[in-house]
Amino acid sequence: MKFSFSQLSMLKGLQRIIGAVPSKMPMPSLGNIHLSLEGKTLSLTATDLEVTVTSRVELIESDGTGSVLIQAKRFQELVRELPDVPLEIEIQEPLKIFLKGEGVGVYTLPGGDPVEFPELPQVDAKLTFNMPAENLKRMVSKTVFAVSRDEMRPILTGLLLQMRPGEIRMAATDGHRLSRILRKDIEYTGEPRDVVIPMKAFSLLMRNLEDGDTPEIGIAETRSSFSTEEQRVITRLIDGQYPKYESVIPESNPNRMTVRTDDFMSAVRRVAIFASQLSRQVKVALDKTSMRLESEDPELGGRAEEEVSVEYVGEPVEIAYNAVYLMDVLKQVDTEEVVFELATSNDAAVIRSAEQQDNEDFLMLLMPIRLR
Amino acid sequence: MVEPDQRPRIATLPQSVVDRIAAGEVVERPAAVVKELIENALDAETTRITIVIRDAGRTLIRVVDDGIGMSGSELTTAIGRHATSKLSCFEDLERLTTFGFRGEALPSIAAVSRLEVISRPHGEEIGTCLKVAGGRVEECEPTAAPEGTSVSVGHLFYNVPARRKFLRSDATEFRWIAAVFKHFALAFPELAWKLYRRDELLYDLPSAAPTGRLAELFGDDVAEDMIPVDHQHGWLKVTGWISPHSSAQRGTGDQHLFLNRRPITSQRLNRAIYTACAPYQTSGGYPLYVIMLEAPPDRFDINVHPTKKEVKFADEKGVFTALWAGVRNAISASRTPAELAERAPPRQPPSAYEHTAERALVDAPAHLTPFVPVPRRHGAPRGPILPFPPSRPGGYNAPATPAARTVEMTPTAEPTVGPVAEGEEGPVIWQIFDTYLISPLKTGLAFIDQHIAHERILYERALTAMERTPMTSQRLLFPVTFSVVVEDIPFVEEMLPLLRAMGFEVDPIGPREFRILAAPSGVRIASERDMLLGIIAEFRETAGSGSDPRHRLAAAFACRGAVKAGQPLETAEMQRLIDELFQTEEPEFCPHGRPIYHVVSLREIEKWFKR
Repeated sequence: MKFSFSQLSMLKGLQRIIGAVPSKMPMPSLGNIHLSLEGKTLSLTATDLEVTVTSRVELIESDGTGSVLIQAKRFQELVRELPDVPLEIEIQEPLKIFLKGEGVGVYTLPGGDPVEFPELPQVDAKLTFNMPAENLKRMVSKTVFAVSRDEMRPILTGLLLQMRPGEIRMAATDGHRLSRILRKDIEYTGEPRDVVIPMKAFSLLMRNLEDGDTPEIGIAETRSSFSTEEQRVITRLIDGQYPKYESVIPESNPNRMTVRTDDFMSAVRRVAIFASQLSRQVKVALDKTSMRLESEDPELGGRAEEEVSVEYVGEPVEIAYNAVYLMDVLKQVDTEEVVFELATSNDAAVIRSAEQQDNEDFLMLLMPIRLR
Repeated sequence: MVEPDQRPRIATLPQSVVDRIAAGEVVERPAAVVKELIENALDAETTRITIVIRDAGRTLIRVVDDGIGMSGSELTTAIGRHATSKLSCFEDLERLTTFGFRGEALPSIAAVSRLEVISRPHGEEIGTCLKVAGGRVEECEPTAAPEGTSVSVGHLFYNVPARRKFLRSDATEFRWIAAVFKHFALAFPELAWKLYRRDELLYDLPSAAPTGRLAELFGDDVAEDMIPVDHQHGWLKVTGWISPHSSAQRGTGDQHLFLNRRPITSQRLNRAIYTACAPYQTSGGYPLYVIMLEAPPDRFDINVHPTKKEVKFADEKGVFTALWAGVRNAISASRTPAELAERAPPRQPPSAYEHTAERALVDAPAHLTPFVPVPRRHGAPRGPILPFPPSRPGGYNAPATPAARTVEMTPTAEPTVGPVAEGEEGPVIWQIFDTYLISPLKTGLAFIDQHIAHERILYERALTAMERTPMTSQRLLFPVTFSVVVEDIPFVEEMLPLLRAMGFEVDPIGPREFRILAAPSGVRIASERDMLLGIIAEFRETAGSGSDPRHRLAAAFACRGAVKAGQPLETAEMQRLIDELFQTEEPEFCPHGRPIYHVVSLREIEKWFKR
């Protein structure tokens, strides 16, 4: 088995998959990359058993078929340091990998028996649809902040993907805040289906998607796949019942506050400096034309007050929020103005961009902190 | 039926019998005589006291002072019951600053011994010698004598055989006497003291500074080991020395408690000191201490018992608390490595309201302040007084097989490249076994148990929430429901208001069903239900302990909410944990009394390498 390739294409292929190599290894073979040669195509695969990423590397020449395991970290380091010249790899029994090229020396890496590598998962996709990379990226980026980092409730550590005829939704919540975005411009004709996809799959996918790609999304019983020409991300789905988030979205919060996003954001950033280290509490008091922001740090001392002009329709109200959550929410807003729909100081706020994109509906929920 | 003429008739006892009975209360044993005589000498403003003991006081107790002395006529009056120079009307009782006042000591002793008093007042040419046997004056003659008074008690209890029979062995009786001597020698280091057994001079203590006296009585090693206590709490001042560990072999003999320099005994106050020390003791046994309380005379009553060893305080609990706090603060301050403590950011400047309680203790008249809750800053007794059953399944996630784990020791501070300017180097913290934090100090290495460190932080935070400022509470998007068994309903109902202050908003939605609407900020997402059920279980388990429900709840919250052993932490988290730990009242021990950190000193490390 022998093949040649350009340094750049191999480096790109490696970069797509290296993120899947686990840093703490439950089994030693996972520190390897699985190389597989089939005709003129070389596939590189890495997995942490939850997410498996395969990328394809275009070859200059090839001879034979077969597969081998190669030390992931070493191989990537080496390829990165090589000049962009044609390189050649030859695998010899008993499992030695030789790498050489014009103007570079000879490197020998120990090879691994591919039998030791976990079997590559198959996705017997019952449902498939295509989605432009731009849309996929946007939907993930608007929701990912609300994904729970706490393993306590695994279902919340993933992104909810809801497929409906003519509509694709994504939602994430950690129980304190929620983000939901839906698009109506994606062609989906299959049956309604909800799946929860681990965050890691998306972060690997997002890293390598390029504008113009239109990945195919395949959903099977326990797995799903995201495939483009160059790569394929296969992930286990998170098992369990995702909370029925639709029921907690208030339908008619009576009060409505409109504010310039940047003004609000910069005021929160400043006031947050003086928020309690523990609760990060920032108090928001709303009146017809102005919003007063207040924070106080009982541990280290100090307090802050800011005033921002707003347009507010409703009863005067005081609500407290976790400043970090508030900033997370505001970061997602890409319009000049943001709208907060509010009820009492105990109820969730509904936050939307002042203008929605065509074919899109994006909203966020934020639960307050009890005022004291 | 009792025949009329066989019926015992009521009659007034002869005076000699009355005296002997009364004497029994004051003078139970030779040591009590020594105590009474020393107190008289002290009241006579002496500068040196010499005590001679023969046969453990059975044949002779002699106390010699160089105080103001008594004239012949004063001497004869002194032998009469209730004769005292220290009190003239009842109101004086509330202002007593002298030791004796009942006027019972000398007559009581005189009633049960052969007494000889030789005294010469200052400025007089000649002294008087008074001899009394069994309460009857046998002789009163002028005699040549040094200034001051010498009281010799011979053949104690010669006329009370029953009492004599109850005396213990000479060794025991002498130990009691020596204890009394030590008590006073400690309380009055500025006086010169001598104690003779037969002709052997056991103690020769020149006038000294308090620390000097400690060294003389306990030895240099022990004295050096003792931690000074200095604590002012409202009207009560607590000073002295304590050594929590070095007395395991010493028994209970070396506990010395004084009130306005008067030796006192109090089970309750002893317990305050024991509980304050308990977590610091490595072995059993009792702490060694010399603790002086100072209080204005109108705050306590010493006249409970003729021996005046018992004291009644108007505000027992307040005194208990102050004593506990004084001792605990002293030990804890002496044990927190200064470096670790300094690393933590300064505590917030105390706000005005925190001192109102303390001010009340200072200002309010005694009868209005039965007990004033003590501000937290002074460390109310809370840590180890909380008894927990020794085994709580699932309580602590101690690593099952630490040896089987791989040690990953990653310095978490950024590797420094090139020379680092002095002081710029950030503190380095390692985590090992995902359970312990290691922080290098200038003087060694500190090992910190992450779970119990966090437990301490949360415990104090929960108490603050219940006592002062409610915890901030994050409302939940998806309220969580839980149900409890019928037996638990009373506990849950007792807990509800406290839970609310702690940031849990829990609503009953059925007979046994509840709904969690909000949880304290910082509680792990989605863990609310498990945490609350755990807290309820623990609260129920400790129901019989008699501890304050708030302490029980805080401990349960801390145990359930703390980061577990085996959980990897980020650098920032570790730093914060350490910072917050050393801002707590009690960075040494978790609420159950387990140590939180251990310092391996540089000296110890050097020893490994035989340096």
